Formats: sequence, structure tokens, C-alpha cells
Amino acid sequence: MYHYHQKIPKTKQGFFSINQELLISFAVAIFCFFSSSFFPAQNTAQIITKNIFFLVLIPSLYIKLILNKNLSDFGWNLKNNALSLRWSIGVTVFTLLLFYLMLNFTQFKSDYVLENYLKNSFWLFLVYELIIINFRIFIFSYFFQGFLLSIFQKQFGQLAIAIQAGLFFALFFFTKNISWQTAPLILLSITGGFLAYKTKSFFYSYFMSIFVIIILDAYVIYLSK
Amino acid sequence: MKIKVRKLLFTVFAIINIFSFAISPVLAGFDIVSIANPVQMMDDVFEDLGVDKSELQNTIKTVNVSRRKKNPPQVSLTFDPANPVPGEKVAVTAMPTYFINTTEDLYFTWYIRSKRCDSPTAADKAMCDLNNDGSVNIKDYKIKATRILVNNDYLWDQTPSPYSSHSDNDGYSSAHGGDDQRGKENPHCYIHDVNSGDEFELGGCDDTKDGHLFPQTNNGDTTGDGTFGASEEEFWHTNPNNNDTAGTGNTDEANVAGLGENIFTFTYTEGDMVGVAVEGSSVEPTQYQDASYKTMWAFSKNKCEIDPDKGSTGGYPKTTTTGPTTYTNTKADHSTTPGVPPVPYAATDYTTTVTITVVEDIVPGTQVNDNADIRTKTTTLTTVTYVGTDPDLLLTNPVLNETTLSSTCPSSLAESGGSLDGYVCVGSDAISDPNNPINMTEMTVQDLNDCLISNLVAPSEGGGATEKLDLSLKYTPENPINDPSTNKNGDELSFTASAANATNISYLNYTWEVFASNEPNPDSWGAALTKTDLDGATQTSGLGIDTLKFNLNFTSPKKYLKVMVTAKDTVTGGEREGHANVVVPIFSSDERIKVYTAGAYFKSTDLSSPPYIKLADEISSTPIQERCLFEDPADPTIKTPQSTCEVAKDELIALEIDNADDFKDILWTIDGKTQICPPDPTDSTINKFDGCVDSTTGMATSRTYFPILKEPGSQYNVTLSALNKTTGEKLDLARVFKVYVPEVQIIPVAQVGGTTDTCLGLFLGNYQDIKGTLYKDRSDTKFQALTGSNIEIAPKFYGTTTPKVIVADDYSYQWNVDGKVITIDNFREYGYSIDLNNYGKIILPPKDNGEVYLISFSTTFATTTANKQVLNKYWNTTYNEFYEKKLADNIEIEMVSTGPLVLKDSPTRKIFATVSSGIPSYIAFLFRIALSGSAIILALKIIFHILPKTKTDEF
Repeated sequence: MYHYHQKIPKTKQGFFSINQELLISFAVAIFCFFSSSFFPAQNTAQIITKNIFFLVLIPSLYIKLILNKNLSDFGWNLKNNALSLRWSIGVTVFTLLLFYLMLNFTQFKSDYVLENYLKNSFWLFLVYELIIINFRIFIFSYFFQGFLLSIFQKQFGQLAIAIQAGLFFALFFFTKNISWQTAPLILLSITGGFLAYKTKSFFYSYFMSIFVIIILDAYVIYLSK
Repeated sequence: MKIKVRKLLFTVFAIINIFSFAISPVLAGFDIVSIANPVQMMDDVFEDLGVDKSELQNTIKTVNVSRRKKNPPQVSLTFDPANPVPGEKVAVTAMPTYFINTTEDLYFTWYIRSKRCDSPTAADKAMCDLNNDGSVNIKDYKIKATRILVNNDYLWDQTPSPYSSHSDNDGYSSAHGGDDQRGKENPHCYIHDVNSGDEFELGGCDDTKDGHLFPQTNNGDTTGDGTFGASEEEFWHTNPNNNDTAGTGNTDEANVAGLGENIFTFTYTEGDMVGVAVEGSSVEPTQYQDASYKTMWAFSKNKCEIDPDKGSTGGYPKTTTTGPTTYTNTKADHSTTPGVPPVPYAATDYTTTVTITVVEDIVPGTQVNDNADIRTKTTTLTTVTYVGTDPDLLLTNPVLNETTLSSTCPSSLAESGGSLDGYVCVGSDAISDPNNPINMTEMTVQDLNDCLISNLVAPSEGGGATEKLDLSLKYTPENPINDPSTNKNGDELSFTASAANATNISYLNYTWEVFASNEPNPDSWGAALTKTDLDGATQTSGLGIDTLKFNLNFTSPKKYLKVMVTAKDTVTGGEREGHANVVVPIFSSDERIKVYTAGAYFKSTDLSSPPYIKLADEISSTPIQERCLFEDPADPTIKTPQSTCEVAKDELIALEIDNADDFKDILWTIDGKTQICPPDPTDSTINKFDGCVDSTTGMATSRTYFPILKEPGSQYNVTLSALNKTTGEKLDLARVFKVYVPEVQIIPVAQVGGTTDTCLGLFLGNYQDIKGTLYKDRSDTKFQALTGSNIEIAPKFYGTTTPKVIVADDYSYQWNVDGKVITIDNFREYGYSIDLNNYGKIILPPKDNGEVYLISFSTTFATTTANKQVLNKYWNTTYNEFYEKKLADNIEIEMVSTGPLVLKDSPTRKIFATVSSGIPSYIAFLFRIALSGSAIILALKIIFHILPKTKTDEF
């Protein structure tokens, strides 16, 4: 348990000195974030590779080599199994309920489009969900709900959930990708962040997200038939 | 004085005469002429009553002969099953008619003859001769059937014999003419003469045994005599301790007599034949002065004729001859006493011979039923012959002396003392003798047994089944249309045959034949068309082939087709056949309903009023595009109408046929309801649907419009009927529309002056059709484009039309190229182009070899505002019911080098094709990213090294 409300004795060290690790870590995160967006890549394989590199590998190397800390402290763990499982189930159900309400009371149903080849081929659907979506969810989950959340929760506590979700939202906002198509990921950044905060692990939020996305896509295909 | 009296009398006489001439006979009320002429009076009466004398005469003539037109008692048999197999139980039901009795009061004498008992061998004779009289005949057949009827599976042949005791009381006294005729003491039995219509009385009717056709035992017992002892019980195999072994509700003897036994059930063996004689009372009463009706019999085949040897008219004329009686040494003179011959007197050398002939005959016109006036003619022939030697006397030999005597009849039987004995009545003096019926035959009731054999019926002859197979034929569609063109879009004609009385439908052998003629009922249909003449014909003969289909694509069609089907069914003992045919009128036409997209537009002169409706291409002044055409992949110039036209909800569809001037009385229907273009709701005199309503007549034209209001998955059936003005032939066309959810696909568009080969889908492989023709299979999501040429891509919509010309304000397409959102407002910033006049296509500049475009497209499918107004105003579609659907697609275009201007097809790729085929560039990428990562880590290390250390426990 982290004691993040300790008294800090007044020293000559300034703001930067006090929050050195936080600031540097945040700077590293931003750098990795922009690198993953702007590093040139010509095809899907290169895009996935660069995302893994900058959003997973570099942060992990930073934690191990620069901060000399364990990855488990940054969400790479599966501890507190019983409690985590209960939280996972609860958040999963809540997230599914939210999607259900969105489907029935908003434009989400008509504007969330899946490709026709996914609707018509079960095997392509499986490949899409278990490989493409899986990679994407893992990468984002580790970076935002593992690395970033762990950086901020020491200083900001529960506010870290909002901060990482806000950064995730900013990613889509500044790339003009805010739409019903990206709404599930944005919502999962909030509920997944909450789950990661409670379980101290990004794996539960990752599993929850992949499960919810598969259910959502399958249901949308069912509705379109 | 005398003169005065004379004058007075003369005057009175004159006055009377004068007035008698002046007065009309009618006014006088005293018709002297009529009295003098009764016939005239009768005519006048008829005329007054309005009676047509000639019709009355006809009626009377009919009445005169109506007696001969009546129906005698009859019976019909039905077998269930109609075609039994050996060992199967068969129930034969007799249905009698023209009896006054109910079925329960009739006597049914059943008889059955098996094949082995028809001319049995010596070995079979013992089995067939059931009454042991040495012969196998109708009596044995009756016994066989009766035993089956009354036995009811009672085990009669037990050991010890059950007939040693007899405790029941099951005798029955029969009545002549049916059980309900009991108490009538003088039965009269008749047989009907089919030719004359008369009925002739049979002898022996009043006998208890011989007055019926009941089956009889061989031991002297009489059926129906009221006594049914153990010997009879044993003979008939009934239960001696059960009054009603058969369980019919009647006693055993009554059952033997066949009282009410109208159903006979037996186990069929091949060759069995069954018959029945039904005794009852005819609807015709007798002429006797009592309550009797004619006791008659009905036979299975209603065949029984009067034995010609036994006479049919009571023996009239009857001739009786007495003599010749010879008297020697005698002479005789005329007899003067009727019926008494002359008394010869002694005369030597003379011989007298007397012959008396009496002929009784019916006086013509006097017969009424069984009564008539009888005339008798007695002829006495007396021959006197000289037998001496006097030559002079020999010359006059012999002397014939024929005398016909007549006498006068008594005027009544009362006068004669009740008898006509000794009287000989002639002509009008004859009187009738009601106790001496004329219609008598010498046949007896037992003689009717001779008719029974000819009335045997085999199951295949029974009424339950016909010898023919009952076949019916149906076809669809009702008004088929032939397509003589090369499009081969003629209707598929389908025929279905069904057999109502087949033993096994699956084993019917069908044969189909098709004939053609320009006449619906020609003398000869000619030879049948061969299977090759019938486009796409299914099998035309074989077991179970109860349907025939073929396409109406005759290039030179006749006006009528006759389709005939023959079915053969194998039944017990043979085969039976059935035929059916139908004549189908064929209408040949290459006319079809053409489909266009309609649109609504506002007239610039009147923007406030509801929009007008016409073809969308006419609104945009673009070449009119017909919808719902299938493009032949082998030859894109060949376009055939799709069987089902895809449409989307809220679309406005226009329908039209060519050669409108050739047709009249045009009627459009949508789903069976008449389709009309509604007038402007604000002004009913105006119709804003262009070309839909004839401005002069207000009638429907060759064009109509209709909205798609149903949900996806639903269907519309549109029909058009019209009359050809020249030939009068009816035109019937149909088109089916199905509402689909629209979809979109990004496709490369042919460049002006270029070819489509500058951008093609990635080659995946080949597929071949059933004819072996190879077709290339290309990807719909991965494309290759030549560097050096612009890339032009556009959306193609499915389930709706792809508009060629798009108004800028209506442009709702959203492109995303390499992550950049491209709209109608910003495309120039990226160096792209959007062509609103060519399907809204986007034109992209080429990239370098190996580079990739990632392109996605999305739009919202919705009908235009003007269309919405039309749907709302004419079809009351509310604004929250309009259909909207987001459509999207994305593709990837890889740039390849120009080469010889021919795209090299990429080889078949495997699962990790991207990595394996682009290894060099990927390795370079990895190198770059590893370097970058290393640089980052190194920089961070340096930074942390430079920065002052902070105590971690401060966190």
C-alpha cells in the first residue's frame, strides 16, 4: 500500500526535485506517445511494431533500466486474485450494461460500423478480435492503465484514473477521431482505468476490455443480421 | 177464327226465327251449335281455360306410357378396399334403391364364388359342394357366403361337438317382400321386363321356401320357417347357445335369411366374385284388391331377363285344339251351340272329322296393367268325307265345312254368376277378369336363381374404384410469357400431376409429352416436342416423376402448348392407366418492366409547393440508367434483368415499359393492389408524377412510380397488364423487388482516356465455372496501383443506385486517407480531387513504389429532403420514420512500379505474407526503431545521471 499523503519536510529542493521521477516519467510517456504516432511506418506490420516498441518496450526498458524498479509495480502483475476477480466481474458487467444502454438509446448502433467481411466470416471475425483488437487493447492497456496510471497514482491517487483516461481521450481528440466508432475504447479507458486502479494490475483491465469488445462486436453483428 | 189463329201462330213463329238469327249464340247463353257439336264445345272449354290441346294430348300420351318408364328395384355394390390383395379383408356394401322398405327390412341373399369353385376339379369339388348334392352351383355359393356372414368366428368344429345341446331360441319366420310386409296374406312376386317396362308375375310366390331366394340346408330344413334347430345351427356353423351369433341384433335364422345384412365382409383370395339378391317390395303396388305391393328382387348387376321359353305375356294368344275326332259312317252339319261340336249322324260310306280350335287373345287397347278384355275365337272344322265307290260322289270329296262360332258375352260378372266358364266373348262385348291377370309368366321365383351367376361381381368391377387412374394436372404461372430473344428471360413453366386413387404414388410411372400449335383445339397436335426443344426441361418420364418444368425461351413459339401426362399404376391382377392434359396459352414478348430511380425536385418557379417527381437522371440531365440489370462477366455489354431487383427503404422507384403506343388499358398493381400516382394533395387537378397519368383520359400510362416503404427483407410484387391495340393480345408482365440493407464498396473507377488496369484488386487466384471457364479472383480490400498514374476510386452502393452526379450540398461522403479526413471542403489542401459529376470519386496522386494508401470511406445513407417531402405528403411517412444507415468501407492500395504498363499479379500470399514479402523494408524499419529506442534509453540514462539524486523515501 502506498502512503501518498506523507508530510514532506521542507528542504531546499524545488518542485522539480520533489516530483523528478513523476515529471521525467511523464515526459518519457509523452515522448513515447508521440513517437508511436509519428514514427514513420508504411504498413500494418510496421505500425503494430512501432506501437509495441514505443508504448510497451520503451516504457518497460525505462522502468527496468532507468528507474531500476520492478514491472510488477507498474501493473505487470496478477496479484490479489480473489478481490481482483470480484472487481473484474463487477466492472465487466457495468461496462456491458453501459454499452447496452448506448446501443438502445443513442446513435451508437447505427454509427458503430463493422466491416462486412467480419459479419460474413466467423474465422475472419476471430482473427480480427484475437489478433488485431487483442494487440491494440494490450498495447493501450499496458501504456495507459499500467505505465501511466502507475506513474500518476502515487501522487494523485484516484485522480490518476481521470488523468490517464483524459490523455487517452486527447489522443483521439487531436487526431479528430472522436466518433461512435472510437467510443468503446474511450469508455473502456475509464472503466478499465478504474479496474486497474483497484486491482493494481493492468492485466485485469486488459482481459475485461478484450472480453467486452468481443461481446460488443458479436452483438452488433447479431443486430445487423 | 181459324185464320186468326194461324196468323197469330205464324207471327209468333216468325218473331222467334227473327230473334234467333239476331241473337248471338254466346249472348243467348244457350249455345245451340255447341250442343249440336260436343267436340266443338270441348274445344271451346279448353280455349277458355287456356289449355293447349296439343300439349294436353302429349301429356296424355306420356301418362299413357308412364307405367312403362318406372324404375324397378336396383342395388349397387361397393368394395372396400377397391383393389384388395389376397388375404386382405374386404367389405362389400350393398346399396338398394326403389324399394319401399328400409334396409333393415330387406332380405340380402349373398353368394360368393371362389376361383377354384368355378368349374372345380374333382379334388376341389368336395370342398366346393357344401350341400353335398353332387354339384357345385349357386346353392353352394349362397351357403358359403351365408356361413361367413352368420358364423362370426364361432368355433363350430370343436370336439366334442357343441351341437349336442341347443339352448337358444333363434328361429325367424320370413315375410314375402320384406320383414315389414308381415301380415299381408297374398304375396305377389314379379319380374321386370327391361324392354317393355312391364312387370310380370312369377309363380310360387306364396310358398315359404320357394317364394324366396334364401340359402337352404341339405337336410330339408327351410330357412325362414320360424324353426332353427341344432341341425340348422350345425349346418350354418352358428352358436347353438347364442340367439345372435353374428351379433347383428337379429336371430340366427334371420341372419341366415339375410335380414338387413347389407354389408358382407370376407377374406379375399384371388379370383373371388361376390353377388347379392335383395328381396323387398317395389314402390309399385299391385292391381289386386288388397294392400299388396310387388315383391321383387334386385341383383348386383341388375340383370335378369324373362325366360323367353316361359312366355312373357301370360300365354296370350292361347290356342287350344281339340281333335281331330273322327266319326265313321257319319255325317255332320253345322253346330249351332257355342263350344259344342256338331253331332254327327249315321250315314253309310261317310266319315266325319271334327277339329275344334279355341284361340284366346287380348282385345287390342283394352289392357290396363294386369287386366284386359279377352276375346275368344272358336273354330270348329267339320270335314265330311265320302268313302264309298260312287264316282259322282267322289268328285265332290272332301266336303269341308268350317264354322267360326261367336256368342254374346254377359254384360257383367254378376250377370254371369261370377264366372265366365262356357262363355266366349268377342270384341267390345268382352269383359275383363280381374282374377285372371294378363301379365303372367310361367317363370317361378326359383327360376330367378338362374340370374344370380351372371350377377357376380369382382372387386375391380365394384363401385369403390374405377378401372382408370384418376389423374389431374396443374400448372404455374397462370399466364406464362415466352422470351424469343437471346436474353432467355422467359418464365419457367411448371406442371404438377396428382393421382387421387393410386395404390402407391411413389410407384406411379409417369410419361410427359408437350405439343405446340397455333390453335387451342386443332384436329391434330402433331408430333410431341423433343426434350432438346424444351429449354432446361426436367426429366420427362420415370417412376415418381410427377412434375415437369421447362423455360419458355422458344425462338419461334406457337400460341398454345398442350402438355399431356400419362401415369401407370400396377394393381392386383394388372395395370391401370390415367391421362390428363392441359392447354396453356403462351404469350410471347420481349417486353419487360424497366426500373429506374425516381427523384423529387422543386421547381425553381415555385419552391414552396410540394416537389415534382420524375426520373432522377432526368432531374440531373444525365443519361438515363436502367436499374436491376445483371452484367454478364464474360461480356459486360450483355445485360439481363435481374430476377429480383434490389431496392432500399425510402427510395422512389419509377417503372416503365417500351412501345407504350402499342398498348391500351394499362393497369399497374403493387402487391395485388392497383397502383395509381396520387394527385397533389393541395390541388387534386394537378398530378406531379411526370408521365404517370394521361392528361386527356386520366388513365394509367406506361410509366408509374411507387415508394419503398417496407423494412429490409420485405418484398414487392409489381405487375403490369395491358392490351395490344393491334392484336388484342393481353400483355402480363411482373417484376419482384426486395428491400435490402444498403452496402458500399470502394472500387477503382475507369479513368478518362486511361484504363482500369492502372488500379486493380490484388490477384488471389482463379476460379472456374461449371463450363471450365477461368475467372480471376481479386481482393476487394487490397489493391495495387501503378506509380505514375493517379488513383481514382469511388464508392459503389449495393441495394440502391450509385448516383453519378451529386449536388455539392448533398455530398455526404467522408473519406479518410492515411488517417486524414477528406471532405468536400478540404480535399484541395491535400492535393486530392473530388469529382461530383462522376460518382463523387476521389482522385489521389500516385505515391512511390512500395508505399501504401490506407483509405476508408463512410457515408450516411438517407433519402433526399425533396424525396422526404414526397413520402410525407403522398404516403404519410413521418419524419422520424425515415431510414438512415451508416455505410463504410476501407481498402489498402499499394503502389507498384510502372513496368510495362501491365500490372504484375502478385504471387499467392500465405498468412504472414506481409512480413515475408516485405522483409527487406521491415528489417530496415526494425533497425531504425531499435536505434531510436536505444537512443532514447541512452538519453534518459544521461539525463538521470546528470540530474541530482533524490531520496526515494521522500516518495
